[in-house]
Order: sequence, then C-alpha cells, then structure tokens
Amino acid sequence: MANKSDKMPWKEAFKINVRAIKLLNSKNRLMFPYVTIKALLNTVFSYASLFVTARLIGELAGERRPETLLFWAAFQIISTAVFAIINGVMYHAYEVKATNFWNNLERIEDEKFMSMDYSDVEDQRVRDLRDQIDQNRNWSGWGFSRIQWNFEGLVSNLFSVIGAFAMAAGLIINKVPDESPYAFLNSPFAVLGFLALMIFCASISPFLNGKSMEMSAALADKARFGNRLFGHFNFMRRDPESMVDYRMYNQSEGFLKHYCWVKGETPWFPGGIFDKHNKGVGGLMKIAAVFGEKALMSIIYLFVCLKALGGAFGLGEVTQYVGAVTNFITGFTWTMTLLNNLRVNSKFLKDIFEFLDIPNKMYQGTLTTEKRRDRKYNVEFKDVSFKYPNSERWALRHVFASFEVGTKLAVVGENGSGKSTFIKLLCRLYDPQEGEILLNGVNIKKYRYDEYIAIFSVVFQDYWLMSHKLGQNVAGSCDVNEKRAVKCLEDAGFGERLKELPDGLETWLGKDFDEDGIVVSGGEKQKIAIARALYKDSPFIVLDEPTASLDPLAEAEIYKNFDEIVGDRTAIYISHRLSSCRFCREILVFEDGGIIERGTHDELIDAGGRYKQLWDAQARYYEGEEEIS
Amino acid sequence: MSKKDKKKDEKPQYGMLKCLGWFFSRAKKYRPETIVLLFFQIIFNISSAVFGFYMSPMILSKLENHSTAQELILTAAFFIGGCFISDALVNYIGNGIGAEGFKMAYQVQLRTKIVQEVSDKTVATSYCHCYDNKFLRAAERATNAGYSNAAPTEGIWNTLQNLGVNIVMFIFFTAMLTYIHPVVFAVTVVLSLADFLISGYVYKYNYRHREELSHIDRQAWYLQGLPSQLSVAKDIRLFGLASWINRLTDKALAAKEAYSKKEHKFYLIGTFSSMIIEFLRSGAVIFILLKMCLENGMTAAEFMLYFSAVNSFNGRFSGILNDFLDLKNKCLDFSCILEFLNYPEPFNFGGGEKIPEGYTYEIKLENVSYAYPESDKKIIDGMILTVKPGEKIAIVGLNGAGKTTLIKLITGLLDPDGGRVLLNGVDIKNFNRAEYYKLFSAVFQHFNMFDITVAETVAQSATNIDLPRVRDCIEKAGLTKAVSDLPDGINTHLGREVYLDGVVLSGGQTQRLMLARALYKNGKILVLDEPTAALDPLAERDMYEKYNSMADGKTSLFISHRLASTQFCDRILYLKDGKIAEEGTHESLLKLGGEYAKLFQVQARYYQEDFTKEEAV
Repeated sequence: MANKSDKMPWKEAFKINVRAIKLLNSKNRLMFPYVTIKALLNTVFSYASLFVTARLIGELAGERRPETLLFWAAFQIISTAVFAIINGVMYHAYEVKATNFWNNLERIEDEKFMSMDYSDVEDQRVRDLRDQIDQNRNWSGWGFSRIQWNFEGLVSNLFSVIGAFAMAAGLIINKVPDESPYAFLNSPFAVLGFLALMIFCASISPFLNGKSMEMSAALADKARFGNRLFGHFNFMRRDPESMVDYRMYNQSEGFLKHYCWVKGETPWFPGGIFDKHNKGVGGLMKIAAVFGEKALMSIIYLFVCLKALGGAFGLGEVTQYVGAVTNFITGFTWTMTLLNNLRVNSKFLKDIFEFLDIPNKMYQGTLTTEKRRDRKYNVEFKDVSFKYPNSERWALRHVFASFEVGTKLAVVGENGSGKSTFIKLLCRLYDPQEGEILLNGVNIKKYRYDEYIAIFSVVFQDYWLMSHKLGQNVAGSCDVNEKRAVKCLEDAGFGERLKELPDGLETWLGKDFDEDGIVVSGGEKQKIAIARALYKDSPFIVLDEPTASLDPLAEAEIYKNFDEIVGDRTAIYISHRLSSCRFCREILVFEDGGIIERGTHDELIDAGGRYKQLWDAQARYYEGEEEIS
Repeated sequence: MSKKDKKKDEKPQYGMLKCLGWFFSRAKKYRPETIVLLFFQIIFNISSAVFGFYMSPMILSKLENHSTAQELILTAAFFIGGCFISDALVNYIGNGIGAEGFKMAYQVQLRTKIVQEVSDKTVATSYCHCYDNKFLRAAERATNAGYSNAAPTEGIWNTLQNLGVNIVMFIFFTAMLTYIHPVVFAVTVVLSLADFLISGYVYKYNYRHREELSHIDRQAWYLQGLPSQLSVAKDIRLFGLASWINRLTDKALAAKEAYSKKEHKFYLIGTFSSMIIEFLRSGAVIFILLKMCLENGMTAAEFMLYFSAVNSFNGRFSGILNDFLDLKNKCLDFSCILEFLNYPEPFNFGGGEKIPEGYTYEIKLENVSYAYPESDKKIIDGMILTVKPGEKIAIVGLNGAGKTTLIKLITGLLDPDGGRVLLNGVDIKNFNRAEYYKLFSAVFQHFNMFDITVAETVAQSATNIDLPRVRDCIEKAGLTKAVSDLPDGINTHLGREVYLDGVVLSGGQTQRLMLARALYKNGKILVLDEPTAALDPLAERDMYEKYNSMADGKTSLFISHRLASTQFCDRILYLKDGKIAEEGTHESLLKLGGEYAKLFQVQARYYQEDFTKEEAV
C-alpha cells in the first residue's frame, strides 16, 4: 500500500496496465475489441461529416452551384443516417458485452477468495487490503474499473489524432500567394512557431489536470476515512435487533452524533481539506486550465484565418482545418490526461495485484487418499503446535492425539482453550507451524485437499446456507441425488417439515428470490446444515456446538438421534453443554492450547480435575431432581 | 403483473411544488450559499453557451466579408474572451456532479444535514415501525436519497442548473428559428417532440421490466462477495462448494447477459426511429436554408449559424423534457423523505406524565395481546401478570413461545394490540417513551456495536464519561485484565470498520462488555434476554452470579433456555402459545409435574448420576 502520491515509472505502469487489460479481457470476452471498433467507426464518421460540411460551406462562400450544393447536402443527410445505424448497432452490441463488467470485477476477487489459503481469508491484513481496493473502486473509481475508461479514451483519441493529421495536412501544404502581406506564414519558422505555441498551450491543461488529479489521489486516504466515519455513524441500521439498542442506550445522543459531527469533521465540508483545495490551488488550476484551452483556440483561429485572409484557401477549408486542429488538440490533451491518469491508476492496480498474487501455499498436495470401504482411517496429531497469523500466543501447544475408527469423541474446554483450533487444523483450514498431522501415517499436507476433506463432514457453529433451493443446499451442488437428500434430511430431523413442503427439495430457502420460499427457524437451519454434512457421507463427522440455538426439546431430539445419525462413523463433538459428553465414548479436555485430560466421563469425574469442575458448574443446576424422577 | 404495477406506482403523497419548497427551505436553513451558487451557475453557463454559439460563425463572417486582420482579431478576441471568462467561472464554482469546484462542499453539507434528519427519525421513531413494511420502504428510499453525491438530495442541483440553462436557451433559439422561417420552427418542434415521445417509450424498457430485471440483478449480486465471508469461505472449503457457486454465478451472469441482449435489441427501434426523424429534420432544414441562400442571398456564415441553431434547439428542447422528468423523479424521492420524516408516531415522545421516582417498580400486564403486523398469530395472547417491586422473574419456554416479545412489551418497545401495560399503576403510554427507556438496564442477544472506544462503549457516551465508574463496571464484569491487554487500554477502538487499528473482541468478551454497559447504565429495572449463549460452563456460571448480584433488590426479568439457570429467580413463568402456562418457583413447578418439569428433566437427565449410555440411544 504505497503512498499514492509517489509516481510509478512509466515502464512499470504500462506493464501493469497491460496485465490488467489481459485479465479483464479474459473475463469480459470481446469487450475490448468491440471498444476499439466502436472508437474507430466514431472517428471515421465524425471526420466524414466535417469534410462534407466544409465542402458545403466552401461552395456557399464560393460559386454557389445549385447541383453541387444539392449533392453535398444529400450526401450529408444520407451518410449521417447510414452512420447513425451502424454506430447504433455497434453501440448496443458493445453494451451487451459490457453488461457484466462490474459483476466480473467482483468475480475476480471472489475467485481469489475461493482459491486462497483459508488462513489468508481470515487474515485481517488481507481483508483490509481487499476493503481498500473496494473502497477505491466504489468511492473514487480507481482500480480495474478505470482501465475500461482509460482504454476507450486512449484508443478513440489516438484515432482522432491520426484522422486530424490527414484532415489538417492542407493547412500546411496550401501556401499563401507570395504577393500577399501574409506570405510570411509560409516560412517554416512560422509553421514551427505555430506548432510550438500550440503544443505549449495544449500542454497547460493536461499538465494542470494531472497535477490536480495527483493531489486528489493524495487526499484519498483522508477521504476514505471521512467516508467510513460518516457511513458508519450516520447511516442507521434498521433491523429490529439494532433498533433496540439505539433506544435502550440512547446511542444517537450518546455518541453517534458526536462521532459524526464533532470528531468526523469530514474533509468534504466547507473548511475541509477538499474545500480548501477547491477554493485555492485546485480552483486556480482549473481556471488556468481553461485559459490554456482558450489561448490554444485563439492561436488556431489566428493561424488558419490569417492564411485564409492571405488567400491560401477558402471558407470551406477554414471550417475543415479549424475543426481538425481542434480535434487534434482535444485528442492530444486527452491522451496526455489519460496517460497521467493511467499512471496514477497503476498504483491502485498494484494493490489489486498484490491481493490477487497472494500465493496459494496450502492446498498443493498431490497424493490421493485410499478409498476404504471399511472406513478404517486413523488420524494422529503428533506434537502439533500452532499460532494464528499475527498472534504471539500459541493457540495449540504440543498436542498429541489419535482417534480410533468408529469412536465417539467429545471435545470440551473453556472459551479460547483451543477446541475450535484443533478442529480447524484437522480440516486443514490452517496448517500447524510445528509437528504434523497424519492420516494413515502420511502427513495430511501431502494429500490433494479435495480428496482429504472428503473424509470429513463438519458442521461449524457459523455454518452457511445459501438463499437457494433446499435440495441444492443439502447436496452443495446443482446436481442433487434426491433420494439421498431426502434420507439425510429425515435423519437430521427435518423430515416432518419436509413433508409439509409442496415443492419438497425444490423449495427455496428464504424469500429473497421466490415468494413461495420458506423462512426456516434457527433450529431448522441447523438441521439442514447437519443434513448437508450427512449427504457428504464421510467417515468422520465433526459437530461444533450444533445445538447452540435449539431449545431443550429440539436439543434432546438431536441427542437422541445422535447415534443413528452418526452410525459407524467416527464422530467428534464440541459443545459447551457438557450433557453431550454422556453419550461419547471418550472426552478430550482442552486448556490453554493443550489436552490436559482424556478419558471417559466416569474416569474424568473420578479424577476430579478440570473436567469435573466444568461438569459441576453446569450439573449443580440440576442437582436434587432425583427425588422427583 | 399489471396489478402489481399499479400498486408500485402509488401516487406520491407530496406534490412537486411542495417537495421543491421543502428542499429549498432546508437549503435556506442549512446552507443558503447553495441557492446563490445555483443562480450564478445558470447565468455563467448561459453566457458560455451564447459566446460559444456565435464564435465560429462570427469569425467566418469576417473572413467571408474580407474584413481586415485587425477586425478579425478583435472579433475572435471578444468571443473567445467571453467564453474564457464564463467557462473559468463555471469551472471554478464547479460543474456537474461530484468532486469538482467549491460549490461541492456546501452541497455535500446540505445533503448530510438531510441525511441526519433521516437518521434522527430512524433511531428515534416508535419501535413498532421496524416491523412496518411501509415505513421500512420509506426509510430505505429516504436513506438512499442521501447516499452519494449523485443521490437526489445533491444531484438535484445539477438538474435544476441544467433545467434553468435549457429553458433560457430554448427561448433564445425559438426566437431565432421563428426569425429564420416559421416552417423551420414548426418542423423542428414537431419532429423533436416525436423523437422524445418515441425514445421515451423505447428507453423505458427497463422500467417496464423492472421486476424481472431486479430479480436477475439481485440473484447475480447475492452470489457475489460471498466467498470472502468467513462462514462461507469455511464451508466452501469443507464441502467443496466452489463449483456449485461458480455454476450458479455463471447461470446468473448468463441470465443478465440474455436480458441485456433483449433490452438492447429493443433499443434498436429507438436507434432507427431517431435516425429517420433526424433524416427528415436535417433534410428539411438544410433544403430550406439552402433555398434561402440561393434566393435571398444568405451568407455561408449565416447558413452555419442557423444550421447549428436548429441542432442546438433540438438539444435544448429534449434537454428540458429530460430535465423535467429527472426533476419529477427526484421529487418522488423527496416525497418519500417527507413522508418518512412526517410518518406519524404512535408513541408519546414529547411531554407526558412524569415517571414516578423510586428505587423499585411494579409492572402489571392487563389482558395484553400482541400480533406482529401482517401476521394472524397472536404471539402474546391475553396475558395477565403482575411483577411486584423488587421481584426477580424468570421467563422460560420453547422457541417461538413469545418470551422476547413479552420483554419488548414490558420495556415499551412494542405497544400491545389489546390490554395495557402499567408501571406503578400508570399506563406506560402516558409516559414520554424516551424517558421510560431510561428505566431499564437491558441486555439482549444482539448488541449494536460501533467503532468507538471501550470506555465509550461502556458509558454509551462520547462526551460525558465517568471514568472511575467505567473502570469499576469493567472490573465487575471481569474484563479488567482483557482491557488492560488492549493496545490503548480503555481508549482502544472496537471493530475495524472505521479505525484500522481497532480490535475485534471475542464473543465472550463482548458479552462481558455488554454486562459492563448495563451495569454502568444502572437502570432501575433489569432485563436479560439469554445473555450467556455461547459461553463455556465456567464463564456461564460466573455471569449468572454477576447478574444475580446485579439484580439485587431490583425488579428484574430474565429469559433463559437453560431452565436451571433461573433458580436464583423468585418466580418462574413458563410460556406457551403466548400465555403463562405454568408459574411458580423452580421447586413448585417440578412438583407440579407439568411441562416445565418435563422440559427440565429432558435437560437434567444427562447430568444425573444414574445416566446410562443405553438411555441416550
């Protein structure tokens, strides 16, 4: 995230732009060729029109032959009509190609997020980088989105400049007759002087615009902060939950307004940095830029008209040359502005590529796993230690563990003791820094990730279901094995509700995309998530707090079916509700990143250690009910 | 479809004039400079247009008349100079939408002031409105109307400026065309109007298909950005969902492109009709002008001047019509803002009876019923309840039994459809509702967290913080160590949306922080809605004990899933179908052997000594 006011060398800037164009072109097929053709046609048509108008004016100022006038007039009208059709078709064809441009920009990021290491997805620095890219795009249009604009501008201005050369050649070639007082305009010095003056005036405006753009880009960081602040503290959330706190804690008067209006002196307001810039240097630069344009116009008119006065050419040519030279200058000015823009933008592109080039290190294994019908897989943690990125603390330290096939294992411990981390390492969402995890004696890093993860079905607390059809959600795919999906939903306890649904597996979850979609409660969602895990039919099943949002009856139902659900699989069960430990054969107790106790419920209670403490904390609420039962 | 359309095209509640009147009154109040700048902007744009229009033909006419070089230069200097001065002023003030010129600062501030009015209404409005779809729609539109530089509350300046310039220039060109030839004027007006009407119809294609379009669009955008969400990213890897998401995205984008193809094919009708109209118009005009040149001796420069006058007239004419449509649309948005700001408030927010002083309060529900809007199901059904001063009440029941709704009725977030809620015998509707909220220290499951400092979060204030008390509450909530480990202690910002050096607390820490916040508020009545979900057993026990001591002597209400955790309460209410099905102490309810006892046993069974594995299966 380099300082945006440092200039990138031209060579590097071009290179990075070419790379970006290649990438965008691969995502938006034909868009760039279409832009080019569109620009070319536009140039041809506008110069043809200028040429014909010039002939008309010339004839009117000269001999005024009716048939010649008629010819050019008819030519003008008909050619305009033909061009309008061709241009129109081309324009609409291009618009169709560009339909998904913005979606595709997002998709480039999405694809990266799908393929990168999970640890990078969670890494705050990666997320900050992505947020910065998005903010630059959405608030100031920097980044990939500007490529399209720059490319179209550069191509069409290039064509315009080339066309102008052809159209204005006569301005230099046609000489003022020697006897005229303006014959001095024929001298190469006059021509060169004219050109030099023209180029000088023409560079004023792009130079200033470029400067002003650099200044704005330099202010961008402050603008981003101001926008973030304003967006966060002034645009209110409207969901029923947030609305409670606004009222119960009087948040608006308490601090929202303060942050918005006192702390958040936004840079955009009168007196803010942008205002000062616009009233001072920025504004003056704008006036100077306009001055440059008009001075240039004066020079063009002066040179062309004096030559015409001297008798070098007629009124028609004056129209043509003034038009062409003006176009040349506009094209030139824009090319300069756009090149500057391209250079400033390159730094934003660099951020994007920094994000896209984050190496995918983790999922590179090549071994295939054994497909065992008997599901005899053995997993072993050998002296595993792990720290989260950017953290000093060992989340797991010297962990040894191995699971027998078909065992039911409970994992308990306080918040932050390493339970979830343990599961994350098992699923290779992270890789340990020390030690190794073995599957049937082979380090799990060596397996192909898709093959390895096929062995595990995991339901985390924060599982996710798509606003899409129920069946596809269970299958995690567009292709649904209906029988299996129904069976899994039934096993997960969703059978009753499924029977009530007229569209069955085709029912949409949520009403976002289908009015007949169903709104499912937290408990039902959890059941669908469990069904999805069952559908995968893996030898290991891992449940992380699957009953957190269920009421006691629903919880009891899951417990009751647990053995049925799990069948002959190896099951790992994480829960704060220790009641779940009663039906697990073995219990691992985590504390401070290590396994401090391991055994059956009875063994651990007898041992009187940490587990007993945790157990008693909950069990005491249920003491003394034996007399009732 | 047509029925739905009619419903959506509801007449705006406020007319155009009223909306503009309101907007200018806001402008006058907050930033009168904006109005002055608009006036100047119109003047300078007009002068720029007039100078620009005459420049080329006047210079050409000097050439055509073989004037002297001096005359030529003076003419050019006059027109180019005029253009320069006008353009310089226009650019300095700022033309167009967004970050250009110094007018922007005033316009942005005005917009944010209006956004503030909308936000104020949103956070203060009667809570029941967050279930009122009509209100929410108005809120969304009112919010969007201030969302960016291009949004109506700022973009309207550009519309007004264009409209002003176009009207004056339209009059100018009308005079000129009539002066040239009445037929030129008539042909131009008729054809321009025809073009406007046809194009207007054709390019409203998206509007006519807006439901289809928004469906297609939403589906595509819904899928995008998903892979960066942590829970999604996890499931993508664990369940190999990448190919599913990719296929759905492919489908959604293909649908978008297919729609776009249909849309743009239809637009070709517009391209053709405009072409034919342009053909007729420029044909007629050129031939009339040429005839005048040949018969009346019109000069080439005049030909050019008049020919471009026709084109400019056309542009100004359709400009006015488009600007007007634009203005009308923006006024529709203003109407929504007004409708939103004037949305009637059923709750009492001004004056009202004085809330009785006291340390404890009695709460009474008289036959209270409540159903959420657009639902027939009474979530609370004829409830009768008295909470005695200082009594500790636990509320339990299955999901959907009405526990949270009951709390919302008692705290005055919702008003009952039938019956009354009384505080010390007075209907709470009689109190100023904002004052009434001050009575409660409430902890719900959801916390509305902001990127403010730890101390500010505890005090829920940025200006008036009692630091010793903040420290005390943090200590009581068991957070002192965690807070002192933060980079800036209690002055560390929470969250990373605004301050990039902010920290994200764990779920357990957040819950403790919310306890500290409730302690700091020190309300007379304590309300807890399952504040211990997702805590480990030791932390959970610790929190129960803290809440227990916090409730000491106060009237308090406590919702919990874990039935046994309610044992410190004086009375337990078991809710079912919106009614109190059973009530009493834990012991008496167990003796009763009803639903509560059954539910308790379901939970307790696993903790009993004689539990066997076979029992679980």
